Amino acid sequence: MPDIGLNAYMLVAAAIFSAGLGVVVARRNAIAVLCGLELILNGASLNFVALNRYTGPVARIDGQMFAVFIIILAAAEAAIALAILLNLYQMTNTVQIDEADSLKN
Amino acid sequence: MPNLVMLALLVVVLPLAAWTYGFLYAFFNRRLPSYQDKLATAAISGSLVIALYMFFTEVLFVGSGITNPESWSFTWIQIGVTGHHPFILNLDLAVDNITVIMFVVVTIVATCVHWYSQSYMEDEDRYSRFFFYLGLFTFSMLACVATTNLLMLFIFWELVGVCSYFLIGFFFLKKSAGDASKKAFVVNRIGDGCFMAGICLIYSVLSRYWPDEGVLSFARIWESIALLGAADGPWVGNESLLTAVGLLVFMGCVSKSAQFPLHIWLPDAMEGPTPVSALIHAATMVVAGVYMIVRMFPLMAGEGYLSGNYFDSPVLFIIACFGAITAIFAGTIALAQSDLKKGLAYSTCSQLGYMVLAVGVGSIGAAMFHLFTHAFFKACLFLGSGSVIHAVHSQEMSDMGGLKDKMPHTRWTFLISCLAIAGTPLFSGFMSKEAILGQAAAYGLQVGAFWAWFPFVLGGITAFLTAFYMFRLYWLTFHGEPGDQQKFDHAHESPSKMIVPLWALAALAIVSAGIAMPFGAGHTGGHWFQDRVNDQVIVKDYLAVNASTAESRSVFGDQQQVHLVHHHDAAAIASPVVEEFHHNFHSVHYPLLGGSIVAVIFGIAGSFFFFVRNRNKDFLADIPPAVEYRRVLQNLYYVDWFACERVVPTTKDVADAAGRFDNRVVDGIVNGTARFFGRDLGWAVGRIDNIVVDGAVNGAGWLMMAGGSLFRGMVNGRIQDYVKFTAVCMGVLLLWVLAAG
Repeated sequence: MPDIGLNAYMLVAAAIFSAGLGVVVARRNAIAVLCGLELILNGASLNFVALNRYTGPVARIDGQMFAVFIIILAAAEAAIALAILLNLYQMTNTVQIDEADSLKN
Repeated sequence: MPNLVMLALLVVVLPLAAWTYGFLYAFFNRRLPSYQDKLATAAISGSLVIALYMFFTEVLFVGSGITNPESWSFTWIQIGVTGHHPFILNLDLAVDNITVIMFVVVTIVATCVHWYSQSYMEDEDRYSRFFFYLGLFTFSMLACVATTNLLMLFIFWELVGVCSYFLIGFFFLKKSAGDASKKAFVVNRIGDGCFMAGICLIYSVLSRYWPDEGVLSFARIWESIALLGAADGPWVGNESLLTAVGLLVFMGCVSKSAQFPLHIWLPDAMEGPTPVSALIHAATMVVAGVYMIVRMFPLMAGEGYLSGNYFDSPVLFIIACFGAITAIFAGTIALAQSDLKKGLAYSTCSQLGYMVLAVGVGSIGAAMFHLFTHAFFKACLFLGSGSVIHAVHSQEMSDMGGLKDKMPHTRWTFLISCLAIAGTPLFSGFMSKEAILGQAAAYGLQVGAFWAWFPFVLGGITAFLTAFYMFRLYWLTFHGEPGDQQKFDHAHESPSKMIVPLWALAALAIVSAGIAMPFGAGHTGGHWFQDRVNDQVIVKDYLAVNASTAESRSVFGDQQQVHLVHHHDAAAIASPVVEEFHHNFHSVHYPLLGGSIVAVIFGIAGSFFFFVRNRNKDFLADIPPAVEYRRVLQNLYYVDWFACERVVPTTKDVADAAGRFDNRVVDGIVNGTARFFGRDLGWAVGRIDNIVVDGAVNGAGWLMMAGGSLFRGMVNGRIQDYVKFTAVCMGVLLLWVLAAG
């Protein structure tokens, strides 16, 4: 199987990242924003793995380890974020994220 | 404190005590005590007794008088720490022959004047105040001669000056009296200013040499001159300054002792009551100047002080010339005076000229001797003239005449004093004038140059003039026809309170001649009095100890020894110059004696011829060549005219010009500067503050507000906007990194 090269991986990773960023910025639903956040993290993880594969030392798997950590981090973050969203919903009866602008105060 | 000093203090303090009592009494009661006259008289009589006691027990009959003067000194002002060039002023009091002699002069005349005034001033307003002033004057005068510190002498010198001012202006309701007192005061300022400058110079030079002492004591001043012989003396390298100091100090004498051209105040001072004229303006205050230059003689003598050869000192020659010119100048003016008191005033001027001349030719002994004798006969003449004025109520001699039988006591005492001042043998004036003329002639011989005869020639002519003009006063007052019959008819002899002092002084005018006779043990010659005076200032055997600087230091290093080494026996070492001078003095003595007797006889006979035989009251008017000269004399050689019409207006013009300069230029500069800094610069600073500083502060605020409003919109609390912002920023950052890389 021919090697598709680093650029292909990084393009895919950038596409996923951009898609995630676009979701995070554009969607009003907090659940969707969380999904976008997962996409961003996954895009970043892909970069780590690919870069480790092509540029890092042969015998090391630092990038893969980082990707695993990011997955764990994403799970934990999703759990906390969902808990926050539940509380938000209880308080404001909505999960529309642009309604929650109390940060400006 | 030593015994003699204690007595001297008592002499000085007694009149002060009477004065202080009057002062305190007036302070609480708003008027002087009615018994101020008795109080002042008692005080001065006490001083007289003590002074005579000192004179008889310590000076007159005792060896060479006081050979080791007792002294007392304490620091009056000290600014700074000893060892770091402090500023020190001492008060010194010492009793030596000169002090005691001056005490005797002052207390005798003052006592006579106090007794006399009780009668003379009886009917005057402010009678008590007169004695109040008189007490202050007597105290100041006694203190002036008791102190041996130049600064203290100056202080009391000024104090007698101000008393003179009060007493000349005693009849201050009369404009002429007020003017005369002002004139005396202002003219004296000229000399006193110079004197003060001289004192400051002395202090500045001597305080560098003796940094931790009050250097204005006489002993230090004399010693500084003696140290001219040492390599590092205070004046070494400053000899020209020493000459200037000598002349400046002498200027003090010129104004105080009424020497030409500052004599103009003395005749005007006759506006004061006559007893004051006798005490202050004849016997005591005016001789303070002579006394001072006697004390400061080493300063004038300069380097010659060491060797006794002070005959080439330029300062002394200038002094001699001042004295000689004053003597003949005032003597000639006295020829044309119609006012009895003014005639006596010019005669005083002339006699003071003699004393100054004597100092100038190097004979302080003769100067003091003439001072001593002159005090008595001149006080007697003034008190006599007061007696006459009291009788005829006029000072003009044209109102007098023929009073000899109406006022026998006044007439006889006046005659005795006239004979004394004229220099008639056996009277005191003869002895003292002889001494002065002899010294002046010896000076001429010693120096040898023709100009050195100048003092003697003028002095000799004045001796003749003195006899002439004094007897003119006598003839015109007591002989001839009454000038004013009405006044003559009312004239009467004065009461005994005035007569007794007259006789006392007249007796002294004869007896005081005897003081020049050899008294006491261990004395060799006929210069008893002069030796006693010279001993105090002139140091004969100093020569012996001055062989080296080191030795002279050891002599003077002792603080206790205030005075220089004095010679204890007559065989003290004298320099060849001194010997030569004595020889010269003796060689001219007898010719001079004969000459002056002839001058006196011609003087008296001449005035007798003019004023009694020819009854010619204004003799100069009838001698054709003399008419012009008479006008010059009556205008007092135009000196007063020059002073009042030229010097005073010029001074005023200069003062006005200075005032205008001050108003326009100095004030202009000050105001301009103030305007620039206070107003213009303030305005500019205000502008800068308003625009730049305030602008910066306000601008900073405005910038904050603008930035705030710019960023405020971004902080809307929407998490998505924050993310957008972050993403954009990260994008930009990324592009920047890529572009740079």
